[in-house]
Amino acid sequence: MRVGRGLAVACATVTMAAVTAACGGDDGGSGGPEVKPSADSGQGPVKDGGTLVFGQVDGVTQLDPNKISSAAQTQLQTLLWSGLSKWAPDNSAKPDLADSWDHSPDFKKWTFHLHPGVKYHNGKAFTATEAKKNFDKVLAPNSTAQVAAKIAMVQAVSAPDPATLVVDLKTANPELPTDVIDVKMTDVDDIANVNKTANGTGPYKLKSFVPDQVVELARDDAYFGAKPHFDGIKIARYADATAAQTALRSGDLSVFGSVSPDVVKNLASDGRQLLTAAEPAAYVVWELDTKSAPFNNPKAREALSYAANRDAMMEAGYAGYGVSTPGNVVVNPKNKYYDQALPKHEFNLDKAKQLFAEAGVTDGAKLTFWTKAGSNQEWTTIAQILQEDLKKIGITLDIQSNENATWSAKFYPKGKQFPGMLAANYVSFTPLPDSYALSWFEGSQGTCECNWAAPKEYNDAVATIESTGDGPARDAAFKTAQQVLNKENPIIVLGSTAFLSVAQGNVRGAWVQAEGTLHLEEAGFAA
Amino acid sequence: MTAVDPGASSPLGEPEPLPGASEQAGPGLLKRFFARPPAVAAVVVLAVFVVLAAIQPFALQSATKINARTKFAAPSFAHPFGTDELGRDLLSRVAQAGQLSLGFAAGATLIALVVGVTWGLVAAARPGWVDEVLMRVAEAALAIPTILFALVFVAAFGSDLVAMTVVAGLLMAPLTARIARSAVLAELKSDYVHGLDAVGVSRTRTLFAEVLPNAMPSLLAQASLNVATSLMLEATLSFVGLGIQPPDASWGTLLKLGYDRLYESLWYPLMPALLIIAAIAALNTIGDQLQKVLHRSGS
Amino acid sequence: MTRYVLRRLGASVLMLVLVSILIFVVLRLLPGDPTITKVGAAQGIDPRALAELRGELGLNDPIPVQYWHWVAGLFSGDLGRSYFSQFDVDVLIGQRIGPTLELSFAGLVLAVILALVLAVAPTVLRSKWLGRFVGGYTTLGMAAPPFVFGIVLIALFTVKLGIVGNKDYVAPTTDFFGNLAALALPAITLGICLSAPLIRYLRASLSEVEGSQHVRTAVGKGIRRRAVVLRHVLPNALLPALTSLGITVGAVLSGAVVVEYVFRWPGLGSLIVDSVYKRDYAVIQSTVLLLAAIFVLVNLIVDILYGVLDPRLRVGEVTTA
Repeated sequence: MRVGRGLAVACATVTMAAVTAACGGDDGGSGGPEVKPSADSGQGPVKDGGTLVFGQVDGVTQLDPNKISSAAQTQLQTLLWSGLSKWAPDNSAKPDLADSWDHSPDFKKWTFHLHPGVKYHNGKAFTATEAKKNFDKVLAPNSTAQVAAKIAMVQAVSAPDPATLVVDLKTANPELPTDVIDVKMTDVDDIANVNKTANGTGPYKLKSFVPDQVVELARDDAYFGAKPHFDGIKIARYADATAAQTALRSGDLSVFGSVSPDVVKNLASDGRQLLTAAEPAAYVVWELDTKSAPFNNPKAREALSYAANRDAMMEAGYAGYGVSTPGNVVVNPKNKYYDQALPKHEFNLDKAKQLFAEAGVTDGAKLTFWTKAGSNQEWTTIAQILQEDLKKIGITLDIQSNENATWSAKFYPKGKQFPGMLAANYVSFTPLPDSYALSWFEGSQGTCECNWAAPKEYNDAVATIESTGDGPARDAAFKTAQQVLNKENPIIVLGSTAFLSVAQGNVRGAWVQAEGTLHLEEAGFAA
Repeated sequence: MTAVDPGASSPLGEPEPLPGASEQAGPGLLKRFFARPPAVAAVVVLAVFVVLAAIQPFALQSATKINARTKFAAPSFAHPFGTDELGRDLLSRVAQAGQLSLGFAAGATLIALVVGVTWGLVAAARPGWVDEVLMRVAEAALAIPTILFALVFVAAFGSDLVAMTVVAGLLMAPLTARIARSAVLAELKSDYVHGLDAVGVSRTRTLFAEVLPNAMPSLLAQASLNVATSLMLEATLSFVGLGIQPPDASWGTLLKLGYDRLYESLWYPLMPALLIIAAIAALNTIGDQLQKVLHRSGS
Repeated sequence: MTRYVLRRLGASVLMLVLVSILIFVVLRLLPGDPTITKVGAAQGIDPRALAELRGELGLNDPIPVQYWHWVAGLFSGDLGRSYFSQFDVDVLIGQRIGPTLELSFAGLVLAVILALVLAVAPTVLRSKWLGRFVGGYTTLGMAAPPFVFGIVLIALFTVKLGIVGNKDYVAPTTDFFGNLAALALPAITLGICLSAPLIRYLRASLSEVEGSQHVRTAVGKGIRRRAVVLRHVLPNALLPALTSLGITVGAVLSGAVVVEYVFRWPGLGSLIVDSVYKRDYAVIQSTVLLLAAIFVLVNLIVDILYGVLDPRLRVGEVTTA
């Protein structure tokens, strides 16, 4: 479920510092990863031409960029389409379709100045009116766009002239330029044909699409930005790791995304590079229903947090390519805004047993671990570790794997009851200072499936973060919010991880965003 | 998983079976069956698998103990079949998976037998439109490859073990029904049934007390093939990821997990693959041999 | 004859109606919700939007109404539309049916060649050793699920020896030799699986014919054994083996489903498996029905052919499958 979430940061620097940072943190000294990853592919001269073949486990099912239905689709977002702005590796927004932007002093009115002469792939001119249509579509009440939640504060969008887009907000948002990145521009009037034409303004245009199998892209020579390097990009599905390994070895595959950690060592050899986010902002979590027994009792939730042997889980499930989050918050411990003073929930079965007992979860109790079948096998791995540990304190954990639809239907969307159940999930956010990770838990707007009624203190902190720009007030609010999460434990956060990708040695200019997306739009083969 | 019920009796198609003849025919059949070397070999293979599955919880090492340091080990004294991606002992894993695979197959076969025999019995006992309707439905069900129906059912009920067992049982019931019907019809034509009719024994009683036991050997041959079919079905569904889901593991699940890591360990997929093939081959052999014994004695 | 054909035709149609109802009813018992998979279980989507989506997809109509829409659509050439890709199902099938037919055909041809050679050779050469080998081959072929051969081939040729890659499918019109290279391993896998039961039928039928009067006469006349087998025994043995063709087509379809999966062959099998994962009713129901229809049609043709070749059957009871 990388889906959605603010596409976020990337890791940053191009230096070797990033390389070591990627898997640093203290993983208890218990054997780190076997191959050191990097956040971007090598530097050096790049030639034009060639076709890059990108493989991933899941297939792309549909192409409407504002209706993402699977993580597999995020790979296309930056290739076929553009937004007003786009991510820079340092987590900031840089110009894309908008050359520049300015805002009113109270951050409630934003004006975007659009790049002139841009055309959709079907030849139609892209203007401010077109941008407004896309915004209106995303903000419509029946919209299923995940970005809608990030720009929910938008009051109205207007196009005073073809090159100017004005966005009025209900509440202040100093981070609007990063929040609108995922509003991708496509010809709304021709949305019925989006699967056949894509109709974006991105560096590559659609050549062919077979759902769940392959998407072929060709360079758009009329692209308004810097000329893309590849002649074409083919995004193919490799459902099994063996086929992907074969293809990587034979050179049929240039990049394989989402490699299972236990085969990384074997793959990232022979000059191939291992790519992953430097500061992962994706989290393995167990969602709990805080409205029904036993997890309506904060002690039961805290107990579970102490029963989780995070270090063992990161090692067994993620081969060391993950950072434990004993602070139990959705903030990477390496993030500058992480509250280093947060009490750590170190693995402690005695304490867990005692807390469980206080919450009425005693010897012989039974809990259910709800996970996905077919993908995310590592969730099952970490569930087995928990199962063995809980057995020691007399609690039975029944692990149930279900295919995607059944899995999600149990606890999603917000408001479902799932008593006695730990729903494994994967959430990715834009790293702080973007507020989204924390506002996800917030009382009225937040959509955490945990159904948590956040205390006023928390909601106030989030409101402050959202409406305040950089400064001590916001920094303090960040800490307050994290402290509440650490104490209340609405969900259990096990670790911060990121997808691992393996690329051939000659791929240059690819980089990984904190939330996991591998950016290929500026990549090329080594000259 | 016995191939022959010692209580089973007179083989199908014996020209003029007499009431009471079954008592001698039963042991004779068994003797003839075990006089065939392939039959003996097949029963031994199957027995080994059943025993392995049965003793796993007591006699083998833990199948769940994770040890990240010994992953993908080749076979050794400590791990005769090697280890998996989490360093778990594969022999234990395979034995434990055997409980699931064989249990599933046995359950499905039992359901197929109960449903199929009832279906066939009713059809045979009620000639006319009841028979016609029942057999047409069986034909319609048989008209479609099992795997297609199985996929539709999995789409509907998910990969729940109980649901899958019932579905597999129901999918095999039509064929079992057809076999049961023809076996029962053959018995009904025989003189001893006429004899029983003549002395005023009720039809129902005849069916259950005499006809069914006599038809049993050919049903058992079919049952043996059904177990093989369900093993194959389970392995296929699990392999494409729609069957038994980790952490539960059947032979098919293990094969899938191993296949995904072919580059790390060739042993890993090899072991479950060998077990699946050996078990199915053994069951096919038992079914075939049983039929041969039956036909030989009939001619 | 016409009456016989009509009766078989009627039975086939009735069968397909039953099958369609079964598929439809079973699929409507699904516990999962396709709308949720459709939008991804990410955070931040309004439950009302989901409800609206259900309405849009027609999932709120009563089941008989939904069935009627489906069947009416089938007759007007509208097989429905994927809930996910929004592609029409006939487009999706059109994208995939070519590879499936290609693989099935190649597998079938290979199987027939293998079966003819392996079934006849021991008889012609009178080799006991060869007979045992073929016996072992059939036992193994009947016992191994289709994908196991695929794994063995991949393990051997790709992983161990590194000779043949497990290549991506390429359309023959784009790259003919690339297409053949990709076809090799899956076709061999399917061919081996299909050949085992065919060999069994052929051998049984061969030994039956061999014992028959006219063959014994031919041998008695001093005609060479090889000639007898090839000119007299084989042609007579093929007719009964034809009945097994219907069953073999079933095996081709089910074999193709898994073999496609192992070799990433973009055919109908992988379309069905993917749709089952996603609960894409519209695609599952129409694709499964299509495959069932192909199967029923082939059986119908085999039955009719057989009726033409062997008139005795027209009056007797004919069973399918």
